[in-house]
Amino acid sequence: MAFLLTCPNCGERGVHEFRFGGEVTARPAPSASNDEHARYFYLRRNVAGEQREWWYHTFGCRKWLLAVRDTVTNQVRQISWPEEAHG
Amino acid sequence: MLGSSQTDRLPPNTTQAIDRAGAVEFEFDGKPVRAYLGDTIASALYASGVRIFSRSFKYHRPRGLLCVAGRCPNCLMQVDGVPNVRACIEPVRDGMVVRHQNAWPSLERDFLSVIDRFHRLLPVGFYYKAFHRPKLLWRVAEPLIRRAAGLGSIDIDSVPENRHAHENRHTEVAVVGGGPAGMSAALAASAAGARVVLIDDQPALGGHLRYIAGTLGSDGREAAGGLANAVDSAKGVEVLSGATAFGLYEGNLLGVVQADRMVKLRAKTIVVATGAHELPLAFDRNDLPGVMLSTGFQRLVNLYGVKPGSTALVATTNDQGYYAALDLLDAGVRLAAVADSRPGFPEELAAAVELRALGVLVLPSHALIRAEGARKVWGAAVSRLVGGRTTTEQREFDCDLIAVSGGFQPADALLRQAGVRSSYDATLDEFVPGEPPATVKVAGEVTGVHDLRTSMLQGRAAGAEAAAVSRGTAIPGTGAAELQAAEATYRSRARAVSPPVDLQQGAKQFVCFCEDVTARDISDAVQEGFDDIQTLKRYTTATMGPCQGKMCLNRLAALCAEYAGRGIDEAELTTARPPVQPVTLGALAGSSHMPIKRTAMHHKHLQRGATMVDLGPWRRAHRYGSPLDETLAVRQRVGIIDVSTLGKLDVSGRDAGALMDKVYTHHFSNLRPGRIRYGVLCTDSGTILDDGTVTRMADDRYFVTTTTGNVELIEEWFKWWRAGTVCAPTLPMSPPPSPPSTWQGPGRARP
Repeated sequence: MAFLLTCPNCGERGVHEFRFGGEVTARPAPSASNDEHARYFYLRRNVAGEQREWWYHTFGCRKWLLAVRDTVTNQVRQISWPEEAHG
Repeated sequence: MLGSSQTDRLPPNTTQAIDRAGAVEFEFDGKPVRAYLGDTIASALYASGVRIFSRSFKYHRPRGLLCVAGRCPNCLMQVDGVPNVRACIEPVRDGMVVRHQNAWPSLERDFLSVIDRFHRLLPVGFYYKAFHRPKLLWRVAEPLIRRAAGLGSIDIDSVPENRHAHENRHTEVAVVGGGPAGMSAALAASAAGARVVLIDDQPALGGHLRYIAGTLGSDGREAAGGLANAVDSAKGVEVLSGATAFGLYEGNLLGVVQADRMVKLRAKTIVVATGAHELPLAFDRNDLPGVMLSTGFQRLVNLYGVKPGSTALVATTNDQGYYAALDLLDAGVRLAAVADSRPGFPEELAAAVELRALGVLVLPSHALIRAEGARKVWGAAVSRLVGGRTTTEQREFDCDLIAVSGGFQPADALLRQAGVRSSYDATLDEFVPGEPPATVKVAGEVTGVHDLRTSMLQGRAAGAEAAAVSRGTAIPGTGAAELQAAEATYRSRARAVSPPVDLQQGAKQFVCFCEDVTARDISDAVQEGFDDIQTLKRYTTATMGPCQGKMCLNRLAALCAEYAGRGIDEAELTTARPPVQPVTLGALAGSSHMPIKRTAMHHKHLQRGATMVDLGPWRRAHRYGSPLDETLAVRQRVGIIDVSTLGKLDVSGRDAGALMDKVYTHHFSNLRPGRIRYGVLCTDSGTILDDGTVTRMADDRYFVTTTTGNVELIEEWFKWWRAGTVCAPTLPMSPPPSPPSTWQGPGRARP
């Protein structure tokens, strides 16, 4: 893993500056069933292809980012602040 | 002293890299060796009469120099305690201590060479089959096998200090290879305005032009000298000499090792001009000391002024053998014959015509089938080829040297790491790389074209294109026609024919020198069903030794296809992975220099007799007296702890309380301002992340402490919650007031 990520604040940087935060998941409501919680805690889609995921710029601006990355080629199609992505 | 007279040296000439005025003395297996400045360990030893440089991995067969270029496994030695050093590229230093490896008691007499007699009992993959029954046998056999097989050993008691520094660098264009193509590329890229880093693994620029002699050599050296001077004076070209680019990773990241530093070089565009390496031939006893690649002889003779022996037989599949033959003649070596596996005398090749005029026996349509000798070469046998097959029409020659040129393999490992596929080209008899990705350019002999003028044209084009890609300008098309014409001309006259590898009873036709794998072993493995190059590699371990397939991959691929009944055009190469050249773990790890953080009370602790302890980056007070003393002090009087090392976060904003309630296991929004409460942080699934205190400073402001060394993780955790949920407090993280301490015990009211 040596690809580059373009931080909206710091510019193009090596992936080693970042911490991977995993694929974006949706936390179930507190009233959700045990099954739903178990799925949220332990199961991931683990796609071979594009996925939305969290990245944290540890050795930079120390902010969280949302990226759309192809897990096969490591091509990053889109990267943005979470508030932009949330709309 | 070994051969102190240095009688094997030739008179000085301009190609030589040695300085006869500079005397160096080092120790080899306890004996002093005299050398010249500019010598490598191997050239000095060879000049002193050493011919056996190592014992082979499995059978402990004596091995001599083969490539003299740091590509093969034949001269690995222990140097100043460091194992597996390539003696043929390691410069001599005064007082260095060099020792042999994998042989006992000496290279000349290795008791373990008895294993060679029992090779029939140790076929390829024997450890999957033999010594497993009865069950206990493997436990006894394994340590013995491991001890007998191998490379150098590390002396744990004298591990040298790791001085490797890591450096992160960026450039617009990186050129790998300092030969004519690489230098041309660097010049063209810099002329187009790009910043260039040129990486070359040799001590001086010039590539193969440094060690070839004759007319071809003097023309080449003139061209190389001109290019090297231009590179030295070019603006924006930085040369990393003696530096190995060992890996090409994602995002055009090159791993480069140069002496005591590792450079992680990020380049917008990379020009791969890594040249080609010469391949050995697979005849019987092709590993006898005295058998050497023809370019190996050229290096010994032309760079180090070493006279390699008295009589040589040259076996070649291409033009290169003739050039080496001329250089050997010039060095005063008699030529027994030049055996060329191609049909017909190469009338168009000036070197061949010159050799014939000098009375050298040239044998077209002949292949070397056997070397004769025990521990060193004393003869060779060649066979006439008819229809690509060996025949009983054989001739034997007396010789003490055998120069082989089994063709060239593009040094394409970096390209294949970049995803380029190499495939067999029948005209060139080589596996040549295909189309590279847009940010990688290719130039020179790595393309399979071995012609100086074409290399320089390719370099110029690749350099200009690389600069354009890096800088986002239009790709220049100038010179494209000239380059195409040059490549076409080369292809129209290039001819190389590999001789057949006839499996003979009892023949030792080594394909992989690192792992002692013969053609017979490969045939057997294919018979057993390992007929795919990837499984064949894993089963035989061919290509998996220190040379990483540089000497054997092509032959393995060709033989795999042949024995499996496929055409060579269907042959595939194994997956290329870093490192291209061996890299020490020390270089990868880098030297560790972690700064030590001291609290503001550090000296007070020391004055009062605290025992200190390192915790993460912090050096903090561990304890005063015994744990019992400390406990009693807290119970009866007062205990003070320096909490400077704890992490502190200032969480403030409209929804700060809501955030605290979410991330901690209990509520903080009901904490009254001015009060403090202990809290535990958990992940979503309930795993404890950290603990500490939370103080409510004001309605919208909390002061949080974390455990030592955990503050960044907790900051990240809080920020993720803020980014990922609807509640969004502002989180300015301010530096803590210092130096803080907490007080406990009955005496705490009166500090």
